[in-house]
Parts: sequence; structure tokens; C-alpha cells
Amino acid sequence: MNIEREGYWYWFNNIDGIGRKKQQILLDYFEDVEEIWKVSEDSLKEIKALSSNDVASFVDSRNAEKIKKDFEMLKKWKVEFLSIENKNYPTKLKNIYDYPYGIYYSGNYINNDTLSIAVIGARNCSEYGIELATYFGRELSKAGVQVISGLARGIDTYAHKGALMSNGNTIGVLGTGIDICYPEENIKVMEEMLERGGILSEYNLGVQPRPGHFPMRNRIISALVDGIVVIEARKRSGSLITANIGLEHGKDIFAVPGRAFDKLSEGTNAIIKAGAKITTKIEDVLEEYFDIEESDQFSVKSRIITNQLEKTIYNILDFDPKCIDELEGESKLPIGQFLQGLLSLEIHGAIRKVANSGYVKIL
Amino acid sequence: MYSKVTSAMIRGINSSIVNVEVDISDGLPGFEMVGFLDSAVKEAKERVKTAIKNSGIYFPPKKITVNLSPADVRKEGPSFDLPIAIGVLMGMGIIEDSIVDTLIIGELCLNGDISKVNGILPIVYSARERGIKRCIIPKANIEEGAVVENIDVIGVENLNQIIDFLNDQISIEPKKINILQILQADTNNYRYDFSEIKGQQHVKRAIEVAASGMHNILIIGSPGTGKTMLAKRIPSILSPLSIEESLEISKIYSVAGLLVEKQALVTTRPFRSPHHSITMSALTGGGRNAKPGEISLAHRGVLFLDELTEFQKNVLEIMRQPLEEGKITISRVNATYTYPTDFMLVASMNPCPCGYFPDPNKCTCSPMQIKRYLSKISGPLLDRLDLHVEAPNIKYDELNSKKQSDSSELIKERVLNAQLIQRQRYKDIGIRYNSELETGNIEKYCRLGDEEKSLLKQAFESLELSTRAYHRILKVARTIADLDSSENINITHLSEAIHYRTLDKKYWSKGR
Ligand SMILES: [Zn+2]
Repeated sequence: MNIEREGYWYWFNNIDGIGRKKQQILLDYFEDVEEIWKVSEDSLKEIKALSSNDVASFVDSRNAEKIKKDFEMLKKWKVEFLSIENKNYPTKLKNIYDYPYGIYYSGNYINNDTLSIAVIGARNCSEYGIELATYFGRELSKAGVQVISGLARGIDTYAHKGALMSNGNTIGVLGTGIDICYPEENIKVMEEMLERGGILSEYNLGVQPRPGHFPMRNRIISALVDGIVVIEARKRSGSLITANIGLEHGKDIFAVPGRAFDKLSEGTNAIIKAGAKITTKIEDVLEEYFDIEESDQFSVKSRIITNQLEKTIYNILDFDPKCIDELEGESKLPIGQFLQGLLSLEIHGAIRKVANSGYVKIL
Repeated sequence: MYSKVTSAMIRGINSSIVNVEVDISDGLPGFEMVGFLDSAVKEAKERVKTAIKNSGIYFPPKKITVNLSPADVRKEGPSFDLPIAIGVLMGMGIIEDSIVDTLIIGELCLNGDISKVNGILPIVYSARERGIKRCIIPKANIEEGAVVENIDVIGVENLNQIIDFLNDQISIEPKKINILQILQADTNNYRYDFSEIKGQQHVKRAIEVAASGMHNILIIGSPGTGKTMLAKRIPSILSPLSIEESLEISKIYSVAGLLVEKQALVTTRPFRSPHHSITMSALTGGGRNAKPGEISLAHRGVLFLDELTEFQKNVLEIMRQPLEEGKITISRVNATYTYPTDFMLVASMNPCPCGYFPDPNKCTCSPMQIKRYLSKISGPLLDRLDLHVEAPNIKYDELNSKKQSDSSELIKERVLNAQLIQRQRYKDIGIRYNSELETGNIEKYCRLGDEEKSLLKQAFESLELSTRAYHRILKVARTIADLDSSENINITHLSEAIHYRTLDKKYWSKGR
């Protein structure tokens, strides 16, 4: 019986031309999804909001066979349809006025009771951004936080990657069908997310990326979390839209500051001016939700480097890339020894090579 | 009346003897040529006839038959004009005596002038090997011909002059040249110097290492980082050419027709930088009139491929055999030629299609686009580039330009020292540079201690190096130790060598 209920909801979410607004009107008018399934063409025509095309596609769509087939397809993709009535439908999502009546889900469900934080930011981010996104993803996840993001290129991806490093539950919210990997280079992270995290979308299988989908996706991210950390955002970027939606939803907004004239920091600096919390470490986030003592367990331990040669080089490195020639000059070491120390740090995972002959410390 | 003249033709960068036989008899007037000839050779009859007439000599209406032997090799080009004309003139009795122990070669103009032909150097060279005492060649080729010692080389300008010479009416002194003098006069004449480039210390160091062991090197950098400027200066730190090398290279240039008049020899290490629109045959050699390609013109020198990813993929793939074997074999319908291709490959490329990765304010490429761009360089080709180095944007370096850059002379001194060590070490196994070490000999000459072995193991694990990089790293480490005049490869040398392979991971693995 329950499956049938889910079937009606599935159908209700997949009628051409009937979007969120018209769905609401129909539900207000007929009160229940099963009633809507049974409604006659004539009574439909009474609803002014529906065009004649809408009515036609509505009538066409009442095809029980097709719904059955679709469910088989979903099963094949290991994707589950969760209606608003399903017990696994994320509780927090119901708190927004325009919550979707159904979502598609694969992998781990969202834990409704743990702290959830979104880590979002620019697609085309800097090395500094990569380092920070990985750090926030990894450390928040280590602290038991559910890290949620949009699986987009750049900050989103690194936030997920970081969370996966700590084996935490991390949820990606897509603006496409779950079978569509966009951007395509994310296929590996996405596979890992399906295995060890979860992926959620309001769009059915096969739905391609469309510009209009991303703001909608952002409202879901905002709805699912308690706070939003923005790392690197340009002016008028998607991340700022999410932060604004977050404000409307009454969520905490955290922003990692950047340099004054850096294009990638214009957005974050702007929301800081507007009242977002300046955030440089996970404690800045966590203290909003827990009591954290000064010397708390979450603190990132600074790396202990015992080798003198490595130490000399590590101390002149930064989280912003520094060029190899610059480092060599500052180290005052002969080229061979300098490269030996550098390689050793790299092998031990203390530093990372970035483009343009640069090196950065790993947070 | 039958006459015979000895001439030669180019095969690869060597030559073989061609006999020109001429028979003149009474009968239906005509000019018949046989002996597996291409169209340029067949056209010789018109040039010969007209050149003889225009030299003021009566051309009798006789039946003339010319045969070029051996018959099983195809003869190409206009260089048989002169020997054919001489054969005809002998048959006509204009040249009185038969000619012995003499090789004649040259192209004729319609007015009887003799013009330059390609490949004189290897032709004279093998003429001497075959015991020929005298070569008569176009005056315009005299310098390159005279490079060969112990053979008389006579330059002639026109038909009347060679007739008078052969009839002992005039005498022409054989040209003599002092090769050593030419070579010595021409050292230190390279136009560019490393001291002209400020900064880029790291890339310069990698180039020094590469040059010391003649390793191939890949330089990655955005436009404006001076990749091309750096590459152009590499010949300025390479060892001067030995006589053998100079002759070897000059032969190739002679065959390609690239020795200019008055130039006896190639005296500086070649630096070739073909444009990426180059065709396959222009790069590898071959084509309709078999000629050495760019990779052979770079023999014993530098082949610089700027914007490596812009080259057609098949053009790059064809480079693999010559890179490995130091020669290329070109098969044609009737013959197979081998050209030497022992060069140092220097390649440069942008980090992404637009060139500005990773600057997020400038680069507009998606990771997928970058991946596709990099995948134009196949793994096997990448492996043959022993050192990978990134040229950073110049911003930092400009600020620090007060730091003195080493002059090419200074760098060269270090390079030559490292090369001397190599030559002494390898004198018994017939190689000169570490890059030439074959797999079987690597373990012997690039032995590592326990500490070094464990570093290499760690590096392979944590830096995801390709296993094929293993031998390359050892060879480069050997060169770095040689630069340090160290008998053993220690941890510092090895670290630096590994360092030059770590771009693999950043650019070519599944990372960002
Ligand atoms: Zn780009």
C-alpha cells in the first residue's frame, strides 16, 4: 500500500508542465495526492491555473504501467524516490515553504539529528581555496559533522573529498538527475560518495544540468543544514545566492576572509560586511553549536617536523603558493639539499606541489 | 664511340657509385636514356644538349644512348647532368683522353654554367673510401667537398672550363681546407647567453642537468615565462663539436642541401625548432626526394618542439623510435634509408589550452579540457622526456633580478666537466652520455645505497610515479652526481632526480 502511495507521489512529481506552484494549487484544491490521481478531466478544467496543455499532459500522465517501469529503472540505478510522506525524507527539508514533494536519493540517508554544515564556494577556486575546503571538509567531518555540498567543481568537490578522508557521512545535492555526472571529471568523487556518502536530487533520472536548476538546488542545501561555510566566492556568484537563501532560512552564515582585492574574495568579504561570521578554523563554526574549551579536541595539531633540513624549508612555506625559486632563495640552501628537503616534505605529505612551480603547506 | 664517366648518388646520408655510359653511333638522330631514372634525370638530355650548344660546341645529329648503372637503384635529381655531358663530349671527341680515377658530379644550366648540388660531402667522402683520386664538383660546392682530406677536389664553374681542364688547357688547383682551423675559429660564436635571462633559476638548473647527460627535457609554463628563450640558449652550454661530429652533421646538412656557399662544415651544434604545423615527412625525413628531416638535422644537437601539444598526435608518436634508437629508418618503394637522429629533445608546452592555469582569474579552462589537452602527450612519449620542469610566471623573478645569473660560459664549464666524467666512465662500452645507458648497464653504473633505495621506494608509493620512470630517474641521478663530481649517487642527487619527475602526478594523474 505504501508503495502505491509513493507511486502516486512519484507520478505527481513527474507531470509535464506541473511545477512546484501548480502542485501546491492542486493539493490545496483536492487535498490528497490519491484524490488528484482520480480527478476527472472536467474538474481539472475548473482550475484556472492550469492551461489546456497542462490538463492534456495531466491526463496523459496517468499511466500506471509507466510508473511501474520507472520504479524498476530507479531500482536499477539504486536510486530511491522519497515522497514527502516517506520516513526517510529529510526532516529539515520540510522546514522551507517550497520543499519538494519528492526527492531522489542514493547512498546513505541524511542523519536528521546530527549537526549539518554546508561547505560551499567558487568552482574556479585557488590553491588556497582547495586547501581550506579540504581542511573544513576533513576536520568538520572528523568532529562528527555531516558535511553537505553541491558536488560542483572546485570548493564543493574538495569539501566532499575532505569529508571522505575522515570517513564522515557527506551528502551531495545535485542540480541534475543522479545518473548524470556533472561536471564529468567528478565521476570518481561521485562514485565514492555513492558508496560512502549520499547523493540527493530533486530531479528525476536523465535530467540534464540547466542554469535554472542550480538556485533550486542551493535552496535544498540551505534547508538541509544548520550553518553554511563559504570559502572563496566571487561577486554575484551561486555561493552568495546560497548564503542569501540561508539567511532567509535563518541559518548561520560563516565566511572565510580573503585578501581585499582578490576577485575570489569579493563575495566572502561582502557577506562578512553584511554580518557573516569571520571563520578561519572549524572551532569558529563548532562553538556556535557546542561548548568548546580553549584547548579542545578538534584543534588541528601543527605538524611536528624533526628533520632540520625539512624544518628549514617548511618554516618558509605558507598556505598560499610560493614559487620554487623564491623558496630556494629564502632557504639559503644549496640547490641539491633544498630539493632533497622539498621532496622529503612532499613525500611525507606535509606540503603539496601546485601549479606554476608553487608549493603550499597542507593544512 | 663508347665512353664512361664515374659519378655518384646519395643513399640516406651515404653515397654509392653510379657509372654513366655513353654510346654515340650513326643512325637515326636521337637521345635515349636508360637505367631506372626518375623524371628529373630524364630531363637531363634537354639540359645537356642545350648547355653543349650554348657553350659554342656543335652538337652532331647522331644516335646517343646513355645508360646509368647499376640498373636496380632508382636515380634521382639533376646531379647527373655534368657526367652525362662529359660522357657525350668524350664520345664526340671534344674531350680527348679517357678519364680515370675521377668522379664527376654537377647540375647544368642551359647556358653551360654548373650549379650546386646536394650531398657533395658524403659523395666525396665515399669516393675517397673507394680509392678515387679526384672529384670534379660544382665550384659552389667546393668548400664542403674540400673538407675531405687525401683526395683532390676540383671546383668547376662552366662546361668550357671543365673541357679545358680535362684537355690540360688550363690547370685548376685542388682546394685545401684546414678543418681544425674552421672549427676552432667558430667556437664561442653562439648568439644567446643564459645570463640574459633573469630568474628562472630552477628551470636553468634542470636545463644544466639535462645538457650534462644529454637528457630530454619538458618545460611547462604559461605564455611569457620565457620557455622559448631558455630553450634557445641550450646550445650555448653544450660541448664544442669534435671533428667527427662536425663531419657527421655536415654530411646530413650536405644531403639536405643546407650547407650554404662558402660553408665547409657545420661548426655549431644544431638547434632545430620546427613549427608545430610540420608534416610527418618534413619531421622524420623521406618524402619524394629522400631528404633527412628535422629530427636528423638536429642530430648531435637540440630538437626544440615548442608548443608540444599543438603537434599532430601521429607526428609525436613517430618520434618514439628515433628517440629510443638514435636513428630513423625510412622505407620507400625501392630503397630503405637510415638517418641518424641522436638529439636532445627539448619540448615546451602550456599548462592548459588557454595557457594560464592555475590562475583562477585568467584561466578559463575546465578540468576536463585540461585533461584532454594533456592527454595529447601519450604516456610513452612522456616517459622519454627524462626531466619535467615548470617555468613559473616571471612576477617574483622580476623583483629579484638583482640576483646574478650564471653566464653560459660558466654553466658550460660545469657541463663539460660532467661530460668528461661520463666519457671516461663509458669509454669501454661505446657510449658518451648517461642518457645513452641501456637497461642492462643501469644497475652497474647507477648503484644506490640502502638509504637511497628506501627513498626511491617511498617516492614511488607516495608520489604515484609511473614505474616506467624508474630507469629515467636513475640515469638523471647519475648525471646530477657527475655534476657534483661524486662517484656515488647519494640521497641529494637522487632527490633532485625524483623531483624532476614529480610533475607527472600533478598534470597527468587523476588529480585536479
Ligand atoms: Zn586555461
